[in-house]
Amino acid sequence: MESVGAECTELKREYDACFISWFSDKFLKGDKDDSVCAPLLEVYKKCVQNALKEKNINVDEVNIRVLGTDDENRIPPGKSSP
Amino acid sequence: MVKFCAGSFLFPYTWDVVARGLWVRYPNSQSTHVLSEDTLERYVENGKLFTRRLLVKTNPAPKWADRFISKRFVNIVEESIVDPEAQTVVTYTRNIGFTHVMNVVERVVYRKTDPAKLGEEDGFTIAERSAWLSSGVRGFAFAIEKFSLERFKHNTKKANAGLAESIQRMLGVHPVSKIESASSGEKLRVAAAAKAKELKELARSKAEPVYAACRHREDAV
Repeated sequence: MESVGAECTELKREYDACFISWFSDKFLKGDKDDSVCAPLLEVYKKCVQNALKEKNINVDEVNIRVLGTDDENRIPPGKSSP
Repeated sequence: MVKFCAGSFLFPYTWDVVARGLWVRYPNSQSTHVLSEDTLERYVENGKLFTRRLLVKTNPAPKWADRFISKRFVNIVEESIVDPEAQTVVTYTRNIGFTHVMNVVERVVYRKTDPAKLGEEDGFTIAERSAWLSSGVRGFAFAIEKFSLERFKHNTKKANAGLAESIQRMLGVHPVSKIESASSGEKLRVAAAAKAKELKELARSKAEPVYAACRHREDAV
């Protein structure tokens, strides 16, 4: 799969490969230490954040966390026009 | 406001297999509208894995919607929590941008089957999907919601089929056509055909929604 920023796709592939083997071989087997892929994630995340800015994707809106918060159980607001 | 409960879908795989499959679901033959997929954040907290991802999809809209939606792409944020203790994955998906035109929020719980429940055989995984769709465009909200609901139902089927396909690929289960084309001798061909039939029957028996968890309800606001 491609990244939103073409320059991040290679970083994404490296991180994704690390993550899926960690998820399958460690996390699902009870080892919760996720430090092994952390350096790859860091570099890849930075690349994506830059790509979002370049593409004028609203970073603030993207970075809101809903799942696992009280907002999750609220019926999403029906945004009404002014 | 339209609330729609899409009901349940049974995956004939154990919970951990479906959880792994969710991370490799793209690309698949049903997801050609997904252009990119990125991890924005990921961490472990209280033994659970929290992830936030960004998906960019093409946004084919009908001609009449051109006046409301000028963008060709739609950005989707997908949050998820993998809980190995409870053996569940919850995904929460929402669109970013032009939410005043159409706001779609989808929540899916993937959980292991409970043999105590009617129609649930042990060792599989059920996806329970609910969604909220709403439009705030005065005078057109009803039409937009109605259109979006139909499209959502269609996309739900594709999402389930796409995930099933990705899981099969991950497990090295070849699509039926490949089994058939790979066999040269008559004996192999017959064996492959039998296998194909078996797979088809399995797919038919397992890939049906086992029950409709809730009927869709349309509440006009």
